[in-house]
Amino acid sequence: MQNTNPPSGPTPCSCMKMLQLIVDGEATAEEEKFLRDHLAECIPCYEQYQVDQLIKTMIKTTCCGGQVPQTLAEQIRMQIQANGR
Amino acid sequence: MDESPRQNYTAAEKQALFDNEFMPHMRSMYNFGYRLTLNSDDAQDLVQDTYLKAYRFIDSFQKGTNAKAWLFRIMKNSFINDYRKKRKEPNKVDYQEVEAYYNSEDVDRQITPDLRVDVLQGMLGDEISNALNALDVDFRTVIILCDLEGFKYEEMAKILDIPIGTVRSRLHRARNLLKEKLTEYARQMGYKS
Repeated sequence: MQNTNPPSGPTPCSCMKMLQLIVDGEATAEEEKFLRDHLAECIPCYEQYQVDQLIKTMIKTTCCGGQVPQTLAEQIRMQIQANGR
Repeated sequence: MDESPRQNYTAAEKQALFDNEFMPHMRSMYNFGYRLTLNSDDAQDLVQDTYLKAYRFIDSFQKGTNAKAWLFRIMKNSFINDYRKKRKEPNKVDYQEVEAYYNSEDVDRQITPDLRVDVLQGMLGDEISNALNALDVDFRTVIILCDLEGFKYEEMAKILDIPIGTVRSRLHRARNLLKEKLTEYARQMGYKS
């Protein structure tokens, strides 16, 4: 039987690009059903999906930045006033 | 600033829009500015510049539309047109070249399948933030807009002035690059692939 997989390990199948549609909540109902069915039977895709989902969550919780400098809002208001009403 | 019809707000309406629609996004704007420039002073300048422009061009903002997306678009343009030009970094890789490289077929094949959930869970957060900052700014930007700020692809397309298809492919590539970085960190932390 012919091996259609590229030689190096479990290579993501062509669905990989589409998986982000679910992760990002951008899939149509039809795409979502197709991808969910696929995830149920493709282990590499399912694992990748979990990784992508987790990275997204981690970015949301860890990259939201520090405190805005307190004076910034005041500076902006003053500038606007200075620029002339 | 936009193709939308010009409004003619009264001074009181302008003030109300500014206070109620624009100012509440200060934190997101500052964080976006910081992630773009990776420098707190530059981030403040960008935020200030963005809000001043927003006020000056407030008549092109249509009430009821997405103020946050509008502000992000202004900041993105300021960053490209003002900040980047002023700084003309000689070592800066041209984005077209980067995109051409990552458009090549090889990239998807390079994805490291060994980045696992348990490995990620062992990371503290600094690694994610550092990996994000290490990406080329255009790749960094799509991840920030999508994952951090929760913009939809359509909104991102408008903010960045690119087609939705490009948003999707750029995001896909950005995430692969981010995963490569994280895999590097994981190896340094002693995780075996």
